[in-house]
Amino acid sequence: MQEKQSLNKYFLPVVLAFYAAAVLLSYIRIYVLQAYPTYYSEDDMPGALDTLTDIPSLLTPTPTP
Amino acid sequence: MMCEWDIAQFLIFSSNGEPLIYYSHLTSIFIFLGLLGFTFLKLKPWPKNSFRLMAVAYVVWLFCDLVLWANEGVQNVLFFWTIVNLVEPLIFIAAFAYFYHFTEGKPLPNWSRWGIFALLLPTFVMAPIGLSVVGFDYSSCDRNVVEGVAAYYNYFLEALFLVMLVLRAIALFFGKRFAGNRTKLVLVSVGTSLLMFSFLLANFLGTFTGDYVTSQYGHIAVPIFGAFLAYLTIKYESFEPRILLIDTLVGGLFILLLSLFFVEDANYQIYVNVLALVLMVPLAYSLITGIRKEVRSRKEIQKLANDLSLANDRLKELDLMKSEFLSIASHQLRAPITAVRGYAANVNEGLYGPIPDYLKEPLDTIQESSRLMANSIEDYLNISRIEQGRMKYEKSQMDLADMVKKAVVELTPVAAKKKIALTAEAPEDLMINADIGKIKQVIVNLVDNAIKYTPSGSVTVSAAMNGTMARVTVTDTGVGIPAEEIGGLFEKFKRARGANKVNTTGTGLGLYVAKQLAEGHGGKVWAESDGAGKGSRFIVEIPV
Repeated sequence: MQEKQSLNKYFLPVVLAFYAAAVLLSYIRIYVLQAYPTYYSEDDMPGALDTLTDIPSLLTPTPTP
Repeated sequence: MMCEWDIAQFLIFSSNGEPLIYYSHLTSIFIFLGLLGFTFLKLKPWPKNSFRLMAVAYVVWLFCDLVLWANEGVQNVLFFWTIVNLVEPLIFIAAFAYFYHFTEGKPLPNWSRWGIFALLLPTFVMAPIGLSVVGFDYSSCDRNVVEGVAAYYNYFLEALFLVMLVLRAIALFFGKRFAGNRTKLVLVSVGTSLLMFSFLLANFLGTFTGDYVTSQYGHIAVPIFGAFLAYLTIKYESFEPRILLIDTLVGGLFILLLSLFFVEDANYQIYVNVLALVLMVPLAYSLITGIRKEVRSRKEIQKLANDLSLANDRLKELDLMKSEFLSIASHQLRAPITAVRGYAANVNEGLYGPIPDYLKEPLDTIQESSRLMANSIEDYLNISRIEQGRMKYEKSQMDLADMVKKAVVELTPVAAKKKIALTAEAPEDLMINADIGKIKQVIVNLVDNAIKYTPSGSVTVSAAMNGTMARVTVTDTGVGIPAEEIGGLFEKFKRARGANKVNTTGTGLGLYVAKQLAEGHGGKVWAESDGAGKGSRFIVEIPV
């Protein structure tokens, strides 16, 4: 029971830490690494499920035409 | 392809977005900030944490969404869009937690919190690796992004919590727990589910139709349901809606005045607007503080009244306990004191043989003291019966004149000891329908009281008819009663000022009991006096 309670007291810090990490890493990806593609044509845009199978390409900057 | 975008001020002010966006988003931000502020007042803690979380998440969401509309920077759009996707499910989770807390009266259990966290994990993971916002859409100049699978996962989460809420509401509606309080359940269910639904619909329509402008009406609806939920919380948790209303009204007026700066071009219009704002600040401040002060005072008074009521209930309870104790104690004392009194009388009358002279005085004292004690016990018993509502009157035809004479005979030794002349003036018979024992107690108490407060002189007890009432008057030549003290003589434990100097054995119960017993017969009792030192008259009237 005590073990359960001690686990529960970490709930809020854990959630906040995950949110902070997700925001920070997204910031780094976009502002620091600039690791996002830019699409100039709708034909080049991936579908929602396509992104699941091609994660590495998302982290590679696309050269500006 | 180059797009012509206006540069945004403070991230969110530019002409890139439709004016409707500012009205929908800024209004919602201010309303939710207002609601957030109110929940920091003394609201009971239970639903406010989930409501605050929902309000904070929604305000963050609105601000970030405003950035997407107004900002021209590609990176800003990508970053804030990612935050929008991170925060969005939180609004639904908090709304669900609020509903759960409101209906169950306790927060979500820990296992379900961790379960929700597990559901959020994919969102945390997908955001930084680009599965939430894949990249920037430069195919048009709408400052859109290409959304990844995380956006659709968000819709799944949002729909999941909405469905869970609706199913839970239906189950509760048809269950027994809310059988007597279905209105409350319906109101909170409708408020929460419509808040979630209007938000979900607004985003869903925007994503799938591309008509993000029309979908803003969904965001205009969200604060309405948010305010509705806050009102429900207020209503059921004694929060003060007047503060909410006045603050919202003032906040709305400020937003309106501020928004006029965006549409007014002429200098004089701006000056008038500035003047209106300057005038409004002190007025709004005094209005809000005045109402808050009044509401707080009223609440404090209400709290004091409640505390007083609780204390009063507790006192009544204690009084009842005291009466019960008194009743039990008196019963236990009555039997032995009756025996003491009886045997003392027998010994005094020589039933057990002649008694020496030196024992006469101690025996008289035992007899008198036991009589006083028996009278007091009888008074205590009567009081406890009256206060517990257990007093019963067994009425029968009785001769009041005879009763007066008997009472006088009984108390003659007491009067003789003080060298007071105690006489009865009563007709041959005076028949009334009453409880013999109780009426005797009334007369004995009045006569006993007269003897106690008459240092010398006489006490006369007379009985006569007075219309439809039989009247007994006890007249004494004693210490008299000041006019200002006559009214309080018949109160419990009340004794006239300085009474201790004349009589030390009084308890302040005799007259109270006499009054209660007379009134129990439908009669009344009162006192008259010409003033201090001028004697007094105690009159009791009993219906025939």
